[in-house]
Amino acid sequence: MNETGNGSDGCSSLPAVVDLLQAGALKAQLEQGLASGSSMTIDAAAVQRISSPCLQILVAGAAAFAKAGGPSMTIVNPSTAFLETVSLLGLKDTLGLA
Amino acid sequence: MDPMEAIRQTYFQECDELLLAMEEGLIAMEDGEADGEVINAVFRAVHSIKGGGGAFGYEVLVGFAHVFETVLDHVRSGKLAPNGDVVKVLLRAGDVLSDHVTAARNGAGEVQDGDVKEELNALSGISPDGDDAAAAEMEGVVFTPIHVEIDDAPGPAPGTWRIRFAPHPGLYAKANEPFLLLRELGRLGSVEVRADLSGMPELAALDSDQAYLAWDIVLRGCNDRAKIDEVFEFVTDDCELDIREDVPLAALEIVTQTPSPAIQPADPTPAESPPTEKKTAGAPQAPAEAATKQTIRVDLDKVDRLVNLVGELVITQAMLTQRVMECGQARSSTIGAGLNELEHLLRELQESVMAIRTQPVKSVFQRMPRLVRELAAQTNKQVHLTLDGEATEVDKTVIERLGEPLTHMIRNAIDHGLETTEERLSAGKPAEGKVTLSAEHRGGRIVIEVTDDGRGIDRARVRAKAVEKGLISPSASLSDEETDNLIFLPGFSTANQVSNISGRGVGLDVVRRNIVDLGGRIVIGSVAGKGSRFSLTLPLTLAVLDGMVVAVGNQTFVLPLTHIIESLRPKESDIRPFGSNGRLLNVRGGYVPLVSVGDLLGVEDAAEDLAAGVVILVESEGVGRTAFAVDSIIGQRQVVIKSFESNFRHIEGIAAATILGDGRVALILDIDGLVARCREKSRSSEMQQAIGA
Repeated sequence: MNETGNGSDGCSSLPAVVDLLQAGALKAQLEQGLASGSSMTIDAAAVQRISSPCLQILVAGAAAFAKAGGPSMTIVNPSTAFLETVSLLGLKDTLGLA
Repeated sequence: MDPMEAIRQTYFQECDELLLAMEEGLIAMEDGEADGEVINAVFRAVHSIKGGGGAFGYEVLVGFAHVFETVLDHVRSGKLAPNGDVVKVLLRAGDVLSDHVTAARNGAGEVQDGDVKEELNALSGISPDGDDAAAAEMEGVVFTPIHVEIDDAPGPAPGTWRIRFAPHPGLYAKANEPFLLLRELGRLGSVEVRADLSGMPELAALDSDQAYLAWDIVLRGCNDRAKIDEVFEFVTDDCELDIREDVPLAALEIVTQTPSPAIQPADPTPAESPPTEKKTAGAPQAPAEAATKQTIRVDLDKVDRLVNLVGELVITQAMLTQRVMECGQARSSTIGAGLNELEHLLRELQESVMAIRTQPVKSVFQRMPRLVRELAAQTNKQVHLTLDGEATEVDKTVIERLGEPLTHMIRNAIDHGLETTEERLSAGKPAEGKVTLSAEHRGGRIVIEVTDDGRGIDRARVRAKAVEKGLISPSASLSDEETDNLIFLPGFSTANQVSNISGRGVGLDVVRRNIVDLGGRIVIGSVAGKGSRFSLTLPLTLAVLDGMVVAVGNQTFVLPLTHIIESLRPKESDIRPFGSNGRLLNVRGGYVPLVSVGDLLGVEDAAEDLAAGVVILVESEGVGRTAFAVDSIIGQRQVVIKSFESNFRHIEGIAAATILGDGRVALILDIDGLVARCREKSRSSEMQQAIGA
């Protein structure tokens, strides 16, 4: 997932199109973040389209961070498209965007 | 047939219809008539093609349709304005999608969609005037759900549905997206969505190809179950779906319904996210779709069998009537009255059966905009095509054979008819040339016209070319109409350079032959500097024909009524010998060649004395009038055409056959063929005489 820059401070940005092709990389990134034990910030400002398989990963990621306690996963700067999608799919609360 | 193959074929038939609907919508958008319903229709068409394609595993097609659909979705949601440039890309994408469908149908061929895909991605991806503009528009707008008490609806509110939607992995694999489905659902009423996360595994155990999320949806304000089913139409095999009507007892809390997603109720949303209220006001519910006609698909063979049977029935009825009359029964007798009633019913039956085979010319017309786009690009001319009368119906066989001549005429209009942009501008015309394709019913026939506002036919050039090619003598005096008609002669071409569009000199004569083969005629009208008009007149059906039944010796023939101008009894003094053994008939001061049908076809017992018989004046393509002498006229009636070509072989001068009321077979004469034949005959006899002399 080239577009997803992984900053040293545990901050990563989602690309414009987050579809099935990006799913594997997204999951790996979250697992890596979880393993590092530090909080993770995901910037969703660029997202134009995000597919449900990737939202599943974000949901599972959020749950994993919550379960681990301590470090957290936060989605910041959600784009209109991103918010629109998660709102309609009823995932806003789950992803901490309510 | 393999059941899967049958479904596949149905899919492609549907694709043809969907592509037509798509093209129609895109053209409406091009013409600036892009209302919500039009855009929705285009979106639905592309979405349906994608959905079906996914079911058959046409991945390339689905991939392209998905990108296309995404852009359309942006247009639909108002993120992307359907301006000229956008619509141009959409039209090209439509062409490519059509190519993809063709490639999938043939199971071969690769479609070059890279460029268009890139353009589409550019439109859907990070479009500068797309999201930013939308975001700017939304800035500062705070979305507040409105609570409405429905006082006057104390009973159960109709149209509330509880929907359980749990995708299977296949749904994602086929590029379907729950977000789009739910949004579609949001257009039917207000939706309240709850995500069911109970199936979610731990992150480590999660397989990104699997589907874990499910949704429980409450849809309010929708009274039509079919519309809900339509939303999920293409994913029903790839999900668990349960739709139940719900009857809540309490007054409802209704969230303002938005065209873009409605969100959970009573959920104060951050300023940057809300669907705009402005949009809500600006885009009310799409007007109720026009009541759709119900149709069934029937195998064409079955219809043809029915047409044939009805034809036989008409013949049997005619024979029966004749036999009854021969038995001395009066038409007013009970049997006679019964037969009259039968005849009446049969005619109605025949008309109804014929109507099954008719189709709007739209299916042919809709292929033309793409042709025009491609030709405009090739010739570097700006062309605007207007279609008119697409709903005009004509027999399927006529439609099938219309495509080629129309394609050629449109090509001709753009390549030869329209001037280059520079020429047009210097002639004070708008840069964009106009080509109009129209159809209408006129006098029991269909008239199709191709009109352009180009340079018109340059008669001096046409004449010079015809002289140069030896088609006419330099001294020939021709009327404007005759000069125009020269362009239909085989081997005629005025194009200075042979282009790969038209101008190979095989164009218009082939067009005319095709039209004549269909029982039609083609007429040109042209004004220099203003444009040209090609009018095709075609029969509505190739299954029956109105004809004049005539007797020649011991034979009966049918002459198509469309060619007949008049019939008359000649006076001895009006018949003049001409040349070696030719004859001319004086018709009110003008002379026309007189031909004995008996002589021409070698009929025994044909009357020798032409003045004792009847003369039928006919008009044939390009030649003008000819007088056919026959023994007598039996009557005028509609006959059922029995093709020679499909049952035997082509016979020169004979168009087809029919069975008459007395059970006898009568030949239907091919007037143009006969006239050509007698001209040839007279030429060769002159030649023989010249040799003999």
